[in-house]
Amino acid sequence: MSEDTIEQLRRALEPGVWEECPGLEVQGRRMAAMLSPRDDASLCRVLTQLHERQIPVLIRGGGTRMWFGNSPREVALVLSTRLLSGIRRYEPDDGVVEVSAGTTLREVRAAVLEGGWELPIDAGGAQSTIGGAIATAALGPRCLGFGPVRKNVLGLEVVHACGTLTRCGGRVVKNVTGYDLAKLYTGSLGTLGVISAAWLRLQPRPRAIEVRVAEFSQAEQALARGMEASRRSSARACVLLSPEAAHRVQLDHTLSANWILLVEFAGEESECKKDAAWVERELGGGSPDCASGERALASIDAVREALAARSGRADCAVRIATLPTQLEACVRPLIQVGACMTVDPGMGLVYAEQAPSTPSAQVEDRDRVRGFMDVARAAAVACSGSLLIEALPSDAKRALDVFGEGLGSELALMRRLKDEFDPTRLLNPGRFAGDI
Amino acid sequence: MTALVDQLRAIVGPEACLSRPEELFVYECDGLTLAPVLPSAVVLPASTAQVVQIVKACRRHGTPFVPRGAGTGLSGGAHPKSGSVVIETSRMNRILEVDVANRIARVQPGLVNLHLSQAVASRGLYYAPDPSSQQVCTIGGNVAENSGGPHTLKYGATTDNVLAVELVMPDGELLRLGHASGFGLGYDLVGAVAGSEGTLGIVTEATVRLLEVPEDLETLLGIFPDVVSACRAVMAIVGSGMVPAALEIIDHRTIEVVEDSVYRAGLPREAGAVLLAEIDGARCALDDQVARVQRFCREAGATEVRVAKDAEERDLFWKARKGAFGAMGRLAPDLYVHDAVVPRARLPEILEQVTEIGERYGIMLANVFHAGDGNLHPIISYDKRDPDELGRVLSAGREILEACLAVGGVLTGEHGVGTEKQEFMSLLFSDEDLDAMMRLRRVFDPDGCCNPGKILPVTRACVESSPILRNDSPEPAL
Repeated sequence: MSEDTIEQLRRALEPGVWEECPGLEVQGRRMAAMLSPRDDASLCRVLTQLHERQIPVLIRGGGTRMWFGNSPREVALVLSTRLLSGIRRYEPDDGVVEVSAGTTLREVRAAVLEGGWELPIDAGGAQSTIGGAIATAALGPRCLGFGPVRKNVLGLEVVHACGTLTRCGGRVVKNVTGYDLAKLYTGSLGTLGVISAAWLRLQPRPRAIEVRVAEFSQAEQALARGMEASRRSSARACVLLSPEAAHRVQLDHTLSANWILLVEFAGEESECKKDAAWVERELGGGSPDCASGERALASIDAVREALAARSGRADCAVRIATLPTQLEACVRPLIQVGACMTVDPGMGLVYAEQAPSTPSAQVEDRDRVRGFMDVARAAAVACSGSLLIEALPSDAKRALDVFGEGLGSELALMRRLKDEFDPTRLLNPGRFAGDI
Repeated sequence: MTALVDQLRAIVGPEACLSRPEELFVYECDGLTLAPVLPSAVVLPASTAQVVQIVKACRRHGTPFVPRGAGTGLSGGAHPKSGSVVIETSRMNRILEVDVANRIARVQPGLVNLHLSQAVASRGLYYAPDPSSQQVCTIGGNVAENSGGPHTLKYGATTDNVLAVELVMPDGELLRLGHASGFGLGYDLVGAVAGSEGTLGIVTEATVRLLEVPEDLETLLGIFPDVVSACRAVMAIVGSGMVPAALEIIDHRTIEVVEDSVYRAGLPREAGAVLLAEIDGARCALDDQVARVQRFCREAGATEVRVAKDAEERDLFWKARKGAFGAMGRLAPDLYVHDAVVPRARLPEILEQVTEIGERYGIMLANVFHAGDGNLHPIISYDKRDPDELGRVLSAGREILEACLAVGGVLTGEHGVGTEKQEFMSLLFSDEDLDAMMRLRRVFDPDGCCNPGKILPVTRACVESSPILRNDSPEPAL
């Protein structure tokens, strides 16, 4: 992309959209500027201008997951949705909310509390936005109770690469009117269009919350009992932390060098208390200091934030999805290399990361990274799981496809989708599976 | 066509390939009986390999094909196009695998929905989506239509319970989409296929989520003087933070018809409406919730709230609900079951409008609906041989849809667009929105040969004609 073309774009954009951002990097690539439209119309105009000049952009919400996906190709500009912010419409009688894409999850959580609802999107990161969480299909520890992001997106407003505003889905909780494009956009990392607003399903605030903690010396036992705990009827979050992960979360109770099972029960008071008592009786579990009430949320929130921050501190971070009974096969090789792990035994998810190394030992680091990735791949194969590489040093990432190692012939179909929705590859080029 | 039929017979055997008019008659339509069209042939494959061969044979001959499950759909999604081949999956009805520990099952598309729950009941599991036709409808059809049912309120629709599929693409390629864990990589193609009404390919296998049978459940029947007060009770229940398994309302006219039929459940004939509420979960949490539902019902104006005292009485309550369509069918030769969704809070005003529209057009209209989801099902009994009555039925249906859209609703919550509502799509979506859907379809089926003439409108912003009266519309240019 020539500097002249970029300069022409800068002059063509409306005032306030173009922002010089010296020092802004995405996965090791320096960016020339950030474009920040303030409303839908402005977003459409910006994309139209980019399309006319065939200038590719990276899409950014709150900037908390720019590490996600493959290394971007030749891109010099970032398109931010952060200023598309605000609750457009909140319908407490229906338990749905319409929000602009740049609204932070924190803002939406706070807004819907009044009215008795919760936002069932559990991604971490103080600046995480609705648009970013949907585009990355971000998961958190309450996925067990909330369901994946796709379940709670009722409708989307999406601007295509050519600058055309489109809508799909609707504001009602049940809808089969036409193709479910919202599912397709969710998790597509902005490669099919830029999300500008979303209709979301909310969940009622539970009448009671109880948190219990149990410790296990052996991972096998922890996994088996964790799966049982996750199947208690009021379990909303159930996470198993390796000793290293438990120390990072800094739970509000005494920790040993054991695996820590943290379970959050939510719902009717009698049901939560019954399930909490089961943990105490069957697993020898106890209450952290903050076991009940509002403060109980904090311990699972801490896990959520620790998961969200992994990419910033680890050389390598992966997510492996498998069936719950296969978790042991997955975890075993990772234990042997001392991986720091958070396991969701109910959902069959393993978040594993390699501890960061010292900056001075770069050659050695490459071997460490390669070694960890080999183990992660072996773990995924051992459990017939799907491996998603979330964080890697930039140079290592450029040499592989963080999505694509588990994809087969459906990749051709995905490429055709990209060709239909963004034929000249202007949106997040190269960051999705198969160089999409 | 003779050459193609010969090839189809060679693939599936002569007994599984139908081509005589008297054999084809039953396939001329699905649950939407308007505008029937005889297909050229019907094939009943017994395996995925046969489906692949059938699709490839159809493609070689340039013949469109229409996937079909049990044919219980209500929007014409399985209506044949003239000259097409219907591929019916009823012989592919096996449960391939049940993984009790991981609570998933791998099944063929022709498996009857209820048979799956029955097969895993002894293991304490069940399959949650339960459309009213669950005794006959198939999992493949459910995936195609993204079917719901009364318990969607708590457990989601089909798309929330399908983890992976095997799909025969419209060109015959066989793909596996999704992952048994529910966390596939790349674009969510399973999500795109669910609810695509058989236009993106033929599902030949589905991996579905099973749920643990709740420890216990309670079923309540609230009796109200009118349907609006029943709706108010629904809003109070949901607004209180409860998530009932089901909240269903039956209006006065339906009560009368049900009580006159074999589905009689002892509902009070004088009631303006009844609310069927079901709560499930841990036993210890149910009594308190029952008390709250009773209180909300009484505060909303219920004259009585019955709690089913045993499974027999519970079944009786549900018999009234699930038999309502059948009971209405006794009133006239034909039945038109509408389907639209509105924001739950708008139900009272919409129901008043629906009643007014029915009276203004002089048609026999009753309401049975999933109140918790805001999913309306106005049921119209009529005689399609009477052109005047048919015209009034269709006009009333269109007005009902327009009223729902005006309050932020959508065209269909669980029946699908099919041929019934394709021309209404422009009322809800812009040309740009529809173009995006067209792009998705083109990726899977660039030649438009897989279940042509469904979902997408042939004309834009045109609802002047009666689109569901004709089934000869050209395929929209892909």
